[in-house]
This record gives sequence, structure tokens and C-alpha cells, in this order.
Amino acid sequence: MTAPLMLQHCAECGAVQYPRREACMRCLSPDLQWRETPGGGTLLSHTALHVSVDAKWQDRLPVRLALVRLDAGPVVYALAAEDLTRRGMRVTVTRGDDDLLQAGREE
Amino acid sequence: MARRPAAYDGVALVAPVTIGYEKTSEHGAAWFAGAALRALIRKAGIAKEDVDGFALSSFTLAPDTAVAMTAHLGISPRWLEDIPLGGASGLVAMRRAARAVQAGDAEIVACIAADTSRPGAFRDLVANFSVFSREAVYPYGAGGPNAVFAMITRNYMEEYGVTREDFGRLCVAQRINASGNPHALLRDKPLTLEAYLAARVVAEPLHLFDCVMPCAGADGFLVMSIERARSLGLPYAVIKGAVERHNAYAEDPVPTRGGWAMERASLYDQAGLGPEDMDFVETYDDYPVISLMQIEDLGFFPKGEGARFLRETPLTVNGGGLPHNTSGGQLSMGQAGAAGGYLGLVEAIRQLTGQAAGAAIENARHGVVSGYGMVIYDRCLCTAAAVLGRGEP
Repeated sequence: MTAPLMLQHCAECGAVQYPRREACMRCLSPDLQWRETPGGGTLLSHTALHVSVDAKWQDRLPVRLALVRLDAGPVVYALAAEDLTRRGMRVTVTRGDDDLLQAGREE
Repeated sequence: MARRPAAYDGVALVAPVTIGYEKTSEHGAAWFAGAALRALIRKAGIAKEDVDGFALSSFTLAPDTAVAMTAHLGISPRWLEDIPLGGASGLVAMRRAARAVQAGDAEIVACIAADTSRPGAFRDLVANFSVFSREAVYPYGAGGPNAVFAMITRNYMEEYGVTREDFGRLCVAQRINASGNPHALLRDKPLTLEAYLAARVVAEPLHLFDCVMPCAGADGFLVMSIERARSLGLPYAVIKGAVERHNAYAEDPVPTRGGWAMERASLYDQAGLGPEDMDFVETYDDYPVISLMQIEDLGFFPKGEGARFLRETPLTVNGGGLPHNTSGGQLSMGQAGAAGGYLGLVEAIRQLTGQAAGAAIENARHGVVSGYGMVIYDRCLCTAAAVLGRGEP
């Protein structure tokens, strides 16, 4: 199960931001709204973690992670599908069951 | 460029000290802060009461801060700073303390970074390092900076054609520099390029010897007037120029440069010197890519030519190239929390005052030191740099 991305949008200037903030990082407006946001983006970089300090992840190593620049603006970390290996490739970011972002190849 | 900042005239940096380093310790951070203050006053030949300014950086002192240490260590300063800026702490403390001495707000400032290391404590530290990382990095298994710098490293390698062998050269040179340094945890563990390349993977493309070893320890120095340093008979270093910049180039999706590039012109303008005048460089080496970025941003090679630079330039103390991280750096000494943000500055003061703990650069007159601290989300936000010079006796 995946759900669409919900990100903070500034009601005054339209800036989209992540991680969530208490003020708009561009115009400092406090009027921020959660809106469904397209998950399309570009792969900036990627890694596979072979070590984690978090016990929860230690039996799921290696953990593949993607760094994605969303078309909407923000840069996000997301769990990555195995075939995300080329910087610049198109990806889609969605929200998974555990509320973590996940990135896959754009269809 | 903004107006040139006032010169740091009349200010002396003296008494570089290092306590530890130890892989783990049963002592608290306050123990290391106390040991550093004791070493500072003994080295300078002053009384504890002479210290009227105190700057402290620590990640492991909670719930205490610098003010609690005044009671803990029995000092009554009239100038106090708590500087939670990680790898930029030393340079920021130096800048502020120098201004305090110039203005007469304090006569002798003790600048100290002290941290302990206990099993399990590192996990607790990284799990709550910042609100952004707690919400958007740690939940992905990426506790600690390895994942963040794996992303930065891969992007830099692919963008500029830098290879693991290139980074290996930097790491091997630092281990050679560490070999005579009694403070370096890994001084007795020589590193070959083959061993670097064969090390186990941590977070692709980072492998074991790209990562620092968390440890316990402290570093410190004193800031006072040149007159006071001379009257105490202390060799001293001077500040030729110093800059800091935070959250620089936030628009870069993956950093390939830092605030050093933004402030480089100001730094060398203040100093009246250029990269070609530097006898050594001390960078903040949490990962080799960050050291390379600092050397690049500080003007030692043109943007994007890091691979060529690393292939052509020996980085050892007496290699005939550019002596870099001459104490071995964090990659060989260990990372004693905030002391990692002091180590390069303390080593620079040592080199410029004829007090090198390990290999000494012959006739070092000028050096540049840079710092980098605080991963809040996808990069460190604090950058700082200084050009230091040898003080005239």
C-alpha cells in the first residue's frame, strides 16, 4: 500500500518544504498547509547502508536509500528500489505503510 | 564584498593542549573539561583565577552547559560562551574570544571542547541530533552522518571523476602524519592503499577508513593579548584573517561546495595572503570528501580538479607537497565529539609555535584551518576558516 505525498505548502508564497517547518523558509509566513504533492523527481544520489545504529534496521541490512529532488522543490531521503542506480534518472516518491517515503523508477 | 572586518590585531593564541584520546571512557565530559583547563593553566604558568573568559563546546555534557562548568570547575569568568557548533566550534570560539580580548571584555579566555564516549551513547546522540534528522533521516535506518555523507561522496565522485583510490591517498597520508603523534588513537596502525581499498563497506561508497572513530577527549587553547603572551614567555600564533558562514548555498541540491567558497575572498583579503603562502592546511575531516572540498574551496586547486590534485600532491608533513592534517586528523586521531572541531586549530597553533606533538613542518610561518559542523538534515550547516601566522617573539 502506498499513499500520495503530503507536503507543507506556504499559503502566501507557494513554497513547498520538507522536512516540516514552523515557518515558511522563503517568506516566513506561519500559514502553512498540508497538500497532496506530486511525487515525481530526479535521483540525486544513492547509497546502501551496511551498518545501522538503529536496532530496528539491523536485520534488514543492507538498506538502500535514495536522495531525490522532487519536482515540487524539496530534497528527500527515501527507501530505494534496487534499480535506482543512475544519478539524474526519473523517480517517483510515495508514502509507504510505515509512513516512510519510498522511491521507485518512474512509470 | 562586504566591508572588511576589523583586523585581529594584538591577539595571541597560546597553550595548545590535548587530553586523551581514548576509545571509551567511564569519565564524564566534565572530567575532560577539567583536565583541559588544568593543562591550559599549567602550560601558561597562570593561576586559575587569571582565566576571566570561558568558551566551551560539548555534545555529552547534558543537562549541563558551559555555565554549570563554572561551578563544577570553580571559576568566575566575566565572559562566557557555550558554542554548540560541532566541527566549527574551535574557530568560532577563537573568533569570539579574540574580539572579547580586543574589546577588554576578558583578558584570558580558555577555549575548550570536551566530550566523553560511552557504549550506546553515540546512538542516543545521533537519534536526537536535530529535529529534521529525527523526522526525516533517522527513521530510514540512517542514524548518524554516514548516510548523509555517502550521498555527498557519491555525487562528488561521479560529478568530478574522483575515485576511491584518490580518497585513499588522502587517508593514507593522514595516517603517516599520525605516526609520531602520541594523542592519535590509530598512530600504531599504519594504513596502506590496499588495506584502505579492501576495508569493509559501511554506506556505499564509504568504507571503514573513510569514517572517523568516535572517542573521548578534549582540546583547548588560550586567547590573550600579545603583550600578555610575551610577558608570560609563551610562544604564540596570530590571527591573520577569520570567517564563518552558516547555511551557505542552501539552494545546492547536493553540496559540492561549502561556506568556505563564499568567504574565501574575505579570508585572504583580511590576511593579505593567498593559498600559495600557506605552509600547511588543516581541514575538518569527518569524511575525506569534505576535506577535499575544503582544500578546493580554500583555493588550492580549481573547482573540479580534485582527482588531479590528489594524484599530484603529497599531503604528508615532509612530502614536498601540501602538508595536510598534520596531526593525522580525526581520521587517525579519532573524533572526540566537539573536540573534532578544535583538533585542527590546536594542531595549527602547535605547528606555528614549534610545539608539534608529532611531525613538525620546518619553519612554518602561515597555515589555514577550516571547520565544518552540525548535520541538521542533508549537510553540515556551519563553516568557518582562519589564516594563522607565527607570532614574533
